[in-house]
Amino acid sequence: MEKARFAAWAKEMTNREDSRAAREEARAKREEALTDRIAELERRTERPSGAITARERGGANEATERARPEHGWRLPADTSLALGAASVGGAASIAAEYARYIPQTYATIGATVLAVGAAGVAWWRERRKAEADGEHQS
Amino acid sequence: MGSINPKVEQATRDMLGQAIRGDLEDLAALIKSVGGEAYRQVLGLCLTAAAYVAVDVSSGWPTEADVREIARIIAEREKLIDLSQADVDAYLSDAVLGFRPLEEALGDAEKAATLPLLITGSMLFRFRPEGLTWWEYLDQIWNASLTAETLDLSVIPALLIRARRAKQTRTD
Repeated sequence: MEKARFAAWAKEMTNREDSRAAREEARAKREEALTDRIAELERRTERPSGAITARERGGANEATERARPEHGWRLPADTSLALGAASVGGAASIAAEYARYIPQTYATIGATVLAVGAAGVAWWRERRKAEADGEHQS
Repeated sequence: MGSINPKVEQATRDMLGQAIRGDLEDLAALIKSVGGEAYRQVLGLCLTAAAYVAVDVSSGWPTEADVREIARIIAEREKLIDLSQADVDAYLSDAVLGFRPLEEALGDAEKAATLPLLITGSMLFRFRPEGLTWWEYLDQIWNASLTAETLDLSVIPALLIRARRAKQTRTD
């Protein structure tokens, strides 16, 4: 009889311990979620690096700068970058990780969208020119 | 070891030049002429270059605030082509820095097939270092990316220390 009472008591203690552990685990999870949420909010509201606006180029010579024809890729003469230069032209691209998600159909789609866009811009420019000429004549 | 195919690189450079000059008609013709496989790689290189520029101008891995600022500058300053801040933000945060597929990041195939060239071109032009043209900046990006491919990641702490030391020396 005494043995049975002890077993029941031990079982109850174990159950209590389990439920306390479960409560503590749940509380720890809530605290973790709260910490993550606070970190996320801090990250969202923080200010951008001041270096970004300092790096902005353009201004008065922008049109001339844009119009300049680009030159081809120049490999570095600097020996510190010579290792990189040695791997030009191999099989695996440095962009392979990105490219694996890009379907080949994008060439047709891109060419079509840009051709339509270019036609739209040309039409808009012609219209603006015609309007300006009309205003000028009247 | 990673590499860059010179033919694909040349096509990428030509297309970025046309995007920067706003020559959309020529850009469309060039895309059509290079074909699907080459254009797939061109877009991959655009994503690689855009990632470099974003990290470079933010002086570290860009925060959400940094990405928003880059997107704001690109969308507000770009006059030759119409770019929305939301699209630039999605391109950078989800595709370029989040490594998600372009179509998933930008919402449709039309944007996914065109915006990488237009946005990356604009970023190269707008955020090139002082004294460099955008194509010299592109040289720097490819050369640095190829060099990085050959290095072990254990050099990162040493590079950070070197960068901080150089910055300190400049301010002294």
